[in-house]
Amino acid sequence: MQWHTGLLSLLFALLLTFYKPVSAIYADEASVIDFHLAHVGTPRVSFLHAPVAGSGKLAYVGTEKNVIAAIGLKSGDLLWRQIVEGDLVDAKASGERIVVLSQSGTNVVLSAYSATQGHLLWSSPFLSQEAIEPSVSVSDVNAVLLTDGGLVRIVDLTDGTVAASWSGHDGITVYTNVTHTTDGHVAVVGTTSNIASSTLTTAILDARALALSEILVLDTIVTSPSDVLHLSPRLLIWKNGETLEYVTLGKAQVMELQAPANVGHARAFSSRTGRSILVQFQHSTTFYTVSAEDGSLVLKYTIQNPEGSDHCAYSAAESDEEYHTRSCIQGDVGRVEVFGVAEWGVVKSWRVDLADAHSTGHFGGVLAASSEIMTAVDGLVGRVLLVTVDGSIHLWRDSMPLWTRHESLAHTTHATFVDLPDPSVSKEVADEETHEGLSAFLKRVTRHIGEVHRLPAFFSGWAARFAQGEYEVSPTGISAAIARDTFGFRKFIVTGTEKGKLAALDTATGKVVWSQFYQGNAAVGLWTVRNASPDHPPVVAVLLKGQGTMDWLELNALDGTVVGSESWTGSFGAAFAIEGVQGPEDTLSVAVVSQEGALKVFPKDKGMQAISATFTGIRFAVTNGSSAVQGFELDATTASARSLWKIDFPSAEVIQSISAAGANHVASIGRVLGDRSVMYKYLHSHLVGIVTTDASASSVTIYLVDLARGTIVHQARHGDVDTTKTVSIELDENRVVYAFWSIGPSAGTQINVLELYEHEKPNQRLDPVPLDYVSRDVDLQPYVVGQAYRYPARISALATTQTRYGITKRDTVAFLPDLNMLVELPKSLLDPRRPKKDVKQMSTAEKEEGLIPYDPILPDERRWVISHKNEIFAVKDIISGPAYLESTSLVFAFGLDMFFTRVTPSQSFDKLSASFSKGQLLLTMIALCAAVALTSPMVRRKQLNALWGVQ
Amino acid sequence: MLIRLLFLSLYLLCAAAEQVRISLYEQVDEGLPSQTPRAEIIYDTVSQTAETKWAARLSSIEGNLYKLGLLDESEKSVNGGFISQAARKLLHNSDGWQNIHEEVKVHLDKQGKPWKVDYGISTGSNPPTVIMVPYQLNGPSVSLKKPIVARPATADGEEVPEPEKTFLQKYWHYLVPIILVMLLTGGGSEAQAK
Repeated sequence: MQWHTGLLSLLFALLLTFYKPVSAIYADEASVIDFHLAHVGTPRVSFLHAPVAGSGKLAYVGTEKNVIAAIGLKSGDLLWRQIVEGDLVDAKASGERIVVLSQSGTNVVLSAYSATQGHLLWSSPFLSQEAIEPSVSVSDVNAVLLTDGGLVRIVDLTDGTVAASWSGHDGITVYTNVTHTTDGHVAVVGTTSNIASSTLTTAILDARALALSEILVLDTIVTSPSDVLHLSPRLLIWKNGETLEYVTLGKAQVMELQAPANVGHARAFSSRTGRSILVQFQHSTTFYTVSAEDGSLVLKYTIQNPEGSDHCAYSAAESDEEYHTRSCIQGDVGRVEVFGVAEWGVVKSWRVDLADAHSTGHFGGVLAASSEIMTAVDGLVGRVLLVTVDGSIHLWRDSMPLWTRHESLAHTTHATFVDLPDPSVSKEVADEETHEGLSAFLKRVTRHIGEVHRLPAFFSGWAARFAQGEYEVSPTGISAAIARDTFGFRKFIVTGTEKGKLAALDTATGKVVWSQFYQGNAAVGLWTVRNASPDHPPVVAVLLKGQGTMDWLELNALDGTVVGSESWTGSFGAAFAIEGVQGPEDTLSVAVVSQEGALKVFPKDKGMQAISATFTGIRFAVTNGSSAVQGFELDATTASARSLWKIDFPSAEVIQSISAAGANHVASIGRVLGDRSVMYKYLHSHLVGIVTTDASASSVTIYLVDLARGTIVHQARHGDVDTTKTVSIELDENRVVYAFWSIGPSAGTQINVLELYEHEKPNQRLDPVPLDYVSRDVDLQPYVVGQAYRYPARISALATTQTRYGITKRDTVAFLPDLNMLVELPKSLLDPRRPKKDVKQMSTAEKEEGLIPYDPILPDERRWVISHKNEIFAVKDIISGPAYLESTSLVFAFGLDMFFTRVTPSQSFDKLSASFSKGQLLLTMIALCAAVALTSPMVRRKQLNALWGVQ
Repeated sequence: MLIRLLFLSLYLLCAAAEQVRISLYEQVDEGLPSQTPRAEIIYDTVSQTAETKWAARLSSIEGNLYKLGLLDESEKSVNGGFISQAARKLLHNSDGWQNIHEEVKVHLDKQGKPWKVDYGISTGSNPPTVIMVPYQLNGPSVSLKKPIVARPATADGEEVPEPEKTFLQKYWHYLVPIILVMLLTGGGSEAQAK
């Protein structure tokens, strides 16, 4: 026995030396099996700027996702990007610098980035007294920053230091805008509140010392600061009742602008120099130039607006001459017109059709535009950067589309995998299966005869597969553009965004296959409701929430066409799939419940049947405010949901997230221990994990709630937690993994794992064995094993790898926001049963179970990084889906960026690697056959001679 | 000093006597909660023990949902656990309450006040069980390794030399076998010596 244990220890130690939890991806697989889409988000500010004098221009965008980025105009490639702290308010260019103004409450930060490389040059924080939106103006040498509604600072662009400051606080004036003027001053514009009305005030300051030159209270009345239409380096234009008025900066004389009668919808735009100004009225647009003599505005010409002029974006282009461009795009179709300042009227125009240009979908009109007009040999050439309502960025060179960046994908909130149709299963094959006996045989023979013409293609395909080792290509001889590969690695990922954009990505290419845009709606649910069959394409359903309206859409997942829809008015409470009623070709039923408890089920009849058929009733939970969760039961007879229970968490606790275990394949209901005994898993399909944080106690609590009964099955509370950082949680089978930032006793990420079992002792089950954990009112108390580890990087999203049958090990995929990486943490290390003892002290059973001794720190193992060289920004969620091969799991992370890859947690045991030398194997076999053929007559002769006694 | 001790013991006595009274009310379907509590739990926060007095159930409990829990702020509904008539039927193949064992779990917040009641039934005729779940930091914690203590340094940052060991401390493992050999083998017998 002694030697047996000793040998086992030795073997175990040897095994540990060779222990390799996850191998890094192979170099030849990087960027082949995965794709990374780097996004910036919907632009809030966009402009074209040459970073180095005389060089080509780049597009710079500051976005709603608080990213500042530079995009190459030729290819549309991202040259650099940075995430700024707080909300990005404005971005401006000054020579080789991009100056970015951001705000987070009362914290205002002005920072400068290198326009060519994108690295941070300096960042200057300013603490303001009130959270009033700041304003900035940039010249070649300095930036003027306005904060607190009256505090003006001159910031040196070389190092971000404050050179001078001026306070305009007088108790009654609130300054809102600041600009450099053409005569070398700084103008600050604000409104002065009097008892009865408000007047406009401009303060003119010396641009170097910020010494006040004069304060001009303009002789005008404004109702709100929004009456100020435009502030250019020369002029200030505002609305005074039914007239437009303007003043030359530095002068007090108010002048009236010659304008059409209705100024209600007026918008004004000027070139950077402020020499020409364009004012769009309701029915026409008027161009003015600034008189060199007295600074007054001279009307040049007026042109009529096209239909739907609300969908127009204006921009000014300065080269040798000044031009203005107007891009009017309604839906996907429109025109870009170039207006001359020196010349009269439209000097160039072209048609734009965004949908036709990319054949990928809909964009919802134009939001903003930036342009560049160049003089070429054959006339003017225009480049226009268009930002569309859905959030995408397009570049057109005259009437030629150059590129599109689908930035709306940065706002993705929902995603689902869609299986593609199997080309080997045709309608005829499916039809055969419905017949029996002779008729089935005859059908098969007829089909085979019909398919004989594909035989050569099949053989050549088979040979090519053998030669190249690319088994993913199906050797059927059928060429289909959208078809599943042999191993099911190729899928479509359908995504829904908070802006109403739906898009499908092909995992083979990472490109957008189709997109749809439903303006003013947000996707609140997305399901693959029908899988592909020979008769039907796969169908995805999306639930959209608008202003008091709800839309249910069913789309063909392969091309995005709408195959079914329903709209209704009402609120949104919850939506979820009703599990357990879906056959292979059946349609998944989805229930939508309003906040008032009204129920809608899709498809109506089958869904209602499903609800009635469920003995225990369909139960679900919804968060109610920030600290309560309410449980409901669906009632098919009254088509409503009735409240069953409510959990009001203690007032200091705030719900951070809720995660459900989901319906994934469970391969084994127990965990086999080293002595062949079994710990039965607590597999509760209605278990939800609710994470709450308590800022006053610096604690985080994980509640495992039985949503059918509203009971707390288990709770785990931790102290010394930084509640301002994300707490991520993942439930899978009987396992809960969660991570938070611990502040004591030593700061760092703590990743915890809990495993729920039916009983503390092996081979014991709950008494009696529950067939369904929901169907009873008894508290089914699990036995919980938990362990905590430290991980050397912050974690903000967690997911578990899913495979076809669930036999393969389930690893945890985590997103590390500080390193911008995705890692695959092996299950064997994130195991709550790891014994807290030395290898030598471990029992034989523990060693046989393959447990690894406990170590408080999970190593910083770079072989676990599955995103390899890609820097993935701001991932919000990770989903995992099965491939056709059991060994392989598909992983898709989305947030600002998107990243897709496939992982093999237990190595690719069911697939030969591409480097496997089949030629060598074949040659060996041929050589062996030849050797046998050669030697067999010799052996036969020898045996015969031996029998005859011949030597 | 004596007075201080007296006060301290008085305080401890008071603290020890700190009790939380928890009343659990019943509700059937959407009806009003029961006038009198079904159960009164007196929980001692120091010894963490609970004593419960049970009263008879409401006379009309034949509704679909039977709830037991805390009265909510409006005092018009009970916030706690529930059992359905269907579940009772399933468990006992009857509609009655015979042979039913009730179990109540009361979750306490950090002030020691109840904030959530779980309620369930199972087969058995034992008296109802009450489990108190106090507020505690019960999540798994990291078992850090023992820190390696660095050698103390002087104010100048120089390492303090280790104190020199004595002769015995250094060479005891050589001496012990020698002594043992000497003791065990010994010399010849006294007679031989003579």
